Amino acid sequence: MLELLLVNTRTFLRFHRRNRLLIGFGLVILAIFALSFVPSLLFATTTSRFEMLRNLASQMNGFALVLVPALGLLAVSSHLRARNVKLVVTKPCPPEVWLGALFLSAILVALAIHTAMAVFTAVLSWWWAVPYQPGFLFIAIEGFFSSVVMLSFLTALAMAIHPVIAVVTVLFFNESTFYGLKFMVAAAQRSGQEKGLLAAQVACDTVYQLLPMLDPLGERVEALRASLRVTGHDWLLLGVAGVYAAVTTAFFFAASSWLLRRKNLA
Amino acid sequence: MIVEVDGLGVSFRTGFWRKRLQALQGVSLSVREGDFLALLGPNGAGKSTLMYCMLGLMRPSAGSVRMFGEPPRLGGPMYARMAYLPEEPHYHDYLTVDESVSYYGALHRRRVEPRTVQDLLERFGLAEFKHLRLSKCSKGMKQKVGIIQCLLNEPRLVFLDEPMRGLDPVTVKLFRDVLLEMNAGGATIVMNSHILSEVEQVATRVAILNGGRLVAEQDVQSLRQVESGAYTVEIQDGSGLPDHFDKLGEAAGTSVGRVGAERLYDFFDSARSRDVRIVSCQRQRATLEESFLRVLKEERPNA
Repeated sequence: MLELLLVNTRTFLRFHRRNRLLIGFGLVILAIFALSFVPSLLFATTTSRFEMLRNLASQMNGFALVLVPALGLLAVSSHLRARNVKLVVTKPCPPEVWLGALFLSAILVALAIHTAMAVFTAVLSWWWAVPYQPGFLFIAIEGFFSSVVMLSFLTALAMAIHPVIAVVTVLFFNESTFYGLKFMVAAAQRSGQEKGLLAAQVACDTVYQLLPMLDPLGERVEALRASLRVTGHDWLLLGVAGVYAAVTTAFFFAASSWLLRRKNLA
Repeated sequence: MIVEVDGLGVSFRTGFWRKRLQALQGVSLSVREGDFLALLGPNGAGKSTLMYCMLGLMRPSAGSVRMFGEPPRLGGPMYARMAYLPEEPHYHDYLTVDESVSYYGALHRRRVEPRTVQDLLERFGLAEFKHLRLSKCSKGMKQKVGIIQCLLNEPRLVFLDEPMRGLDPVTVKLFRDVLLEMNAGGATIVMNSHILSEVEQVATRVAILNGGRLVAEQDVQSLRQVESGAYTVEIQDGSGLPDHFDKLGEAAGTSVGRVGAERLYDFFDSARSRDVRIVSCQRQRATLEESFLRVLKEERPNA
């Protein structure tokens, strides 16, 4: 099985490397990033460099959060649309192994992207003579976990629905939407309106709990993000975020496998 | 039995109102070891759907399929003894020719020697294109890649969906020989094709589908053993042609022609009176095409 997983992973890595859409998408993101970052370099002073590095790390994480989920989305939609999965599953290669390789290859590319970003931040920090803070590494690892959660969520959605609808679903039905709705319902309840609000509250709570969290640590590491100083407790929290990402990925992998088995692959 | 299909039914829901479409209905069929079975039928008869159900790619709404004695489960060990050539070139277009052949070989959990891949590529005339991506290959070249991936694991059961589509005559001949060789070696082949002349040359049994139902399942010989009501007669050239002799051609001092069964005795009398020597006289057998059309006509007299 391991051999099959590796064979399929190698093939998916070739897919990512040769996919023009993905490369184009990456270049556009890079161009947007450069346009927003380069002008600020011109006005940089020694004192503002630390601030710039912090913003840079945060911005790069934001872009990676868009690029990485596209890896899984494109791999699933492209292979299902090309209908070549039937050539894989009519050989002694279970669909779960093929799907596992899809997830694994996307996670490996995500890891490479986040590592490159962390190295870039470290090199820039050394070049500008800004003391390297462990917070940069913390943010890079946390960003990687968030990307993996988003990647697995979108991959599972793309297995069930059209990729465009999957993206729209993620954009409009995410944890922030339902968090906002929860507040609206709570505000309405406080203003004295009761009719039907209990059902709305339960519905909002349920969906909010079910949706994957992109920022599981949230306010707990607000101070760290500002100062970039990391304590032992913060690393523990990061470990919890890692476990959350692993469990979420396993859940969405299982859901995708279930959907794939039920799909008409002819 | 290597494949057993019992009371198979497949229905789809299509369109906005999710109208039900019955693609297969109560199809029961058995494929014996060593058979070369051709699935025939007009467009939309359900041939590909039946093949997809046999392969486990489609879940039937009724009935069952068993391969090697068990129901097909995608990616299971039974597929190590099988090969499948799809109708459309649904391959991994981002891989090169040799990468795709090696990949499909590796999926069989057996190491395919580079020499074997090279030999197959050379045999099918793809060696010089081995570094070309499949997205840049012609349909015929992709079909050849499909054929090669069917030969990598020495399969005992082969499913071919319109295998000759897009192939040049030389490759058709080569592939036909390969199939006959595999079949002679004990491999069971299930083929779905519209080219009846091709089927006639290779298949030992045919199953004819029409409107989602199995309307005939016979050996090719017995299906063709229907008299077409005429005889093929070869006569030595002499003083004129006998009556009722419909000349078709000439060969080395003889003429070959057709004589209607109802006029055979009159023809003999005429030949005797003209002193024409009859070299051979054989009952004409219906071609597979004629037999196929007759079966369909019997099934739908108004068609």
